[in-house]
Amino acid sequence: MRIGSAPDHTFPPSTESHHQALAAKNVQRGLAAKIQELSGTFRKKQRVYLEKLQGHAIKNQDLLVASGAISLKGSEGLSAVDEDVAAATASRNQVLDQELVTPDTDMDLRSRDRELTEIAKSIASLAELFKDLGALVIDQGTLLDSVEYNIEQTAVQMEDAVKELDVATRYVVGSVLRFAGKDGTHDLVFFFFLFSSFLLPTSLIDIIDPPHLPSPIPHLPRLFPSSTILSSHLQIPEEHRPPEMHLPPPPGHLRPHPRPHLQAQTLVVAWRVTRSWSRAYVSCDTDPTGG
Amino acid sequence: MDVVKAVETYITKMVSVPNSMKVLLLDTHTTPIVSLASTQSTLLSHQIYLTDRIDNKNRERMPHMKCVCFLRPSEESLEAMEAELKEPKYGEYYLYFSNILSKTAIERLADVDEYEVVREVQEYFADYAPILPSLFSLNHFPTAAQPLYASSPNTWDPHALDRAVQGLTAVLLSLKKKPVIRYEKSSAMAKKLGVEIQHRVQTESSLFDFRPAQVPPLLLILDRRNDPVTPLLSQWTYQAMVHELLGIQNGRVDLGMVPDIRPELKEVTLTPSTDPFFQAHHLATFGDLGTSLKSYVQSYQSRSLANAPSSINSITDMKRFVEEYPEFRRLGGNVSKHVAMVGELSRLVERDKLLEIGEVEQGLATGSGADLKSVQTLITNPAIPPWNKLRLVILYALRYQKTQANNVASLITLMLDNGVNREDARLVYVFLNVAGSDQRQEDLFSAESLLAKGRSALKGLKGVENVYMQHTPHLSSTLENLFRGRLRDITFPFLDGAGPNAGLQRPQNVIIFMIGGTTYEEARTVALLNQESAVSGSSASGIHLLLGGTCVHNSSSYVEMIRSAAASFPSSVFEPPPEAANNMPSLNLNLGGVNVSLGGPGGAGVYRTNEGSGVNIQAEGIRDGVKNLLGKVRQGVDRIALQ
Repeated sequence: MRIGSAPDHTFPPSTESHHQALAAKNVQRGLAAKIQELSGTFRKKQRVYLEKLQGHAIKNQDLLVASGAISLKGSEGLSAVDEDVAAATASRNQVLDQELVTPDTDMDLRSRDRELTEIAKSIASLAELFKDLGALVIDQGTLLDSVEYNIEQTAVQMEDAVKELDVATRYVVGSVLRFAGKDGTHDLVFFFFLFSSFLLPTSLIDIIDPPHLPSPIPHLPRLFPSSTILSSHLQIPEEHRPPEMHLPPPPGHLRPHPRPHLQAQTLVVAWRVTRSWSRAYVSCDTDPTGG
Repeated sequence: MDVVKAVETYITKMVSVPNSMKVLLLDTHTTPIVSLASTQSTLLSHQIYLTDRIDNKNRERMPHMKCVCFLRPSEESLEAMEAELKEPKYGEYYLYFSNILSKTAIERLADVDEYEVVREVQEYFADYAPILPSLFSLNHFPTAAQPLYASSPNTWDPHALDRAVQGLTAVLLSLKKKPVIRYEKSSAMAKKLGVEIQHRVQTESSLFDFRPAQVPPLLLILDRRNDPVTPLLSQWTYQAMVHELLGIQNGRVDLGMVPDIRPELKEVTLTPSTDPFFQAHHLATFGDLGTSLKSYVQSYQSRSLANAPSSINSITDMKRFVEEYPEFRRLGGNVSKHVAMVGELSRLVERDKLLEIGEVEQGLATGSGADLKSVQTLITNPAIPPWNKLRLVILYALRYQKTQANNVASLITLMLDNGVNREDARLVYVFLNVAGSDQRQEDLFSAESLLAKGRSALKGLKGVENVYMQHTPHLSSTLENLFRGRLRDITFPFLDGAGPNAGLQRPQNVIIFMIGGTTYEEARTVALLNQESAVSGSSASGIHLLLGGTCVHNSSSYVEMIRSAAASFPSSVFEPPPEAANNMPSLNLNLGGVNVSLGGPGGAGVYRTNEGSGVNIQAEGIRDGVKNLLGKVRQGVDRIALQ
């Protein structure tokens, strides 16, 4: 079916989804920035802590030596020799062991090898993860970080959306006129055209032959944002308007309620009160001169 | 007196309540302000997940989001806000206004708030664009639709005046300054603005109720017309150069016309607060900049080797990589941005022969002077764009208006033969009429030539003299006088009510406002003086300066401002100045709708003598000239009386 193969048109082509998506994307970005910052701090803190621990260990030993609890002299030289001896014996033993019980050690080695690879892999994937995270985070000082640019981008996308809507409306009106004679089915036809005009490159719409229409999708009306409905209403004759396509009612706290005149007054008074205390100045600390 | 910090504080306060998912709505005016003082990532970290314009009609309803609005209390924004409150799209509203909100405006908004969604209304006085810590702009680039001048270069357009008063009031409020005001005597606009500001301070006395400073801060109002030279010069320090050759708009630079530019560098941001390299070098000269950029690139190269895949061999390397990667990426983007920009600057300097032009310009702008021959050579050089030729002739005319009027006339003719069109050439006269030596309060050149020789000799000893950096803006000598207590009351009078001893006190905080736009060169002077003030013993010690203007000019925006303003001035502004040499060609061609330069029965069409209406206008022109002359006589008498 051709309908699915129109990647350059977003679907649903509503301002609604765009705003939602933008907000979601921004949430992602915000969180990514937070994670990056936190992990950075964590790493630094961890490093400092480890260094501190090492420092402690050395310091402790120094303290012990100074207090005479252990005597380094003599024993150190001795212990070094001892260690060498011990190591030599151990390796000799190991060789012997290997000769004696080869299959067992082999298993050990192999599993250790496997675990090492696992660790290396997971570290590599962690590095990859951080790279991806970095891609998500907005870099300071880039154009993406400019508030003005972001607002402009929204405006540009809006304009595109409006253009698409205009094109769509034109096709809808055309199609309605074309199929006005066929009674009974024209609502379905109308829906399909409204639907397909967003989905397809505009050139394709004219090619589609009306008899091969797919059956309309039942939940279609809910996919359209209010603006689509409004703009199509303007140009569609009364009898062709889709039935019952209004938005869900606003949530309770937004519903208007009749208010006596007094309340409006108090509101104004309240606002005035707000005003009198709300004049804000930058606090002293922003002014380096302290004036 | 750090305006960037002040606005930043306001914005942080604004976006930190409420603690939930938020939308930020701005209007055309506040968008650049927020953009300059904050960034998208800062906003994200305060849970602002959508930023949009209040006048965007296609915003979708999102009751789960709360809305922070930062608007200028202008008619359009109030209307948009009303519409928004009538049909609220978000759950709660927090309204912040960038200036004093009138009572009627509050009532208007309160009346439409039927759903009671407004939680807070405050005034945050961030009504100016903070460009640098010591530079702000009111972002008013005069056009035909939004002029600065009314029908003469001495009168304000009412909207522009309103805007300037609001902007300056906001600056004073945000910095908690209740100033005494001085202005340039010759400028009627400066006086008007000063009076308006003082009036505003008095009527809003509860707002301006600050702890009085020992010495009150000073607001010094200057007029661009007293120094038309500074904005016309080629610039040789980083920020000023970028603005002159590429243009900085609200901290953004368009590199779209750079050949072979990478798509991600088509447009870049350039603000010191987000860019450490720019922060360190925005005042550096072009030569120093090249050296610093080279070492910057080298440091990046060494790090990029350390971060190359081949060099990551151990787990420690990986750890290091993860730790350094974000920083490294940022550095990479920054390096390529500056390399692209400096590359483009040097390409333009090379292409337009700006070094040669710059040398002559500096001569014209300072005491040393420049001879006619070098200017002529440049004008006849076909490699130099007509725009730069025009700039040179304007500078020459401003410099030698009185002493070498004949040369000015010959240069205009020469320029017309070398690619400059008549429409543009007329601007030379406009400049002489609007900002010529008779219009200026102090002599830009001769006073300097005596002093400057001594000063440049000193500088030469110190070894900081650079042939392209000889010019110091007129502002610096004004400030020097101020520091030494030599700024005379006759030329820079106080507004009434400053107190009898105002002239004797040495102010600690000085806010300078330039009507008609300031420049980055002046901003640099102010920034350097601020640095100097930290050093005790210098003349500037302990004084904090803040510079502002109706906008920040480069040479083309300045000339465009004068061009668009001249259209509404009396037509005599296009005539050669009255006392000028008789052989200056008349270039006034738009009168009576006849384009004389096309030629016709009148012959070469230099002098316009036909057409009844034309004669009338010419008569008017002569009358204006006479009026000018009378005015000057009166001024002279006044001056004598005052002395």
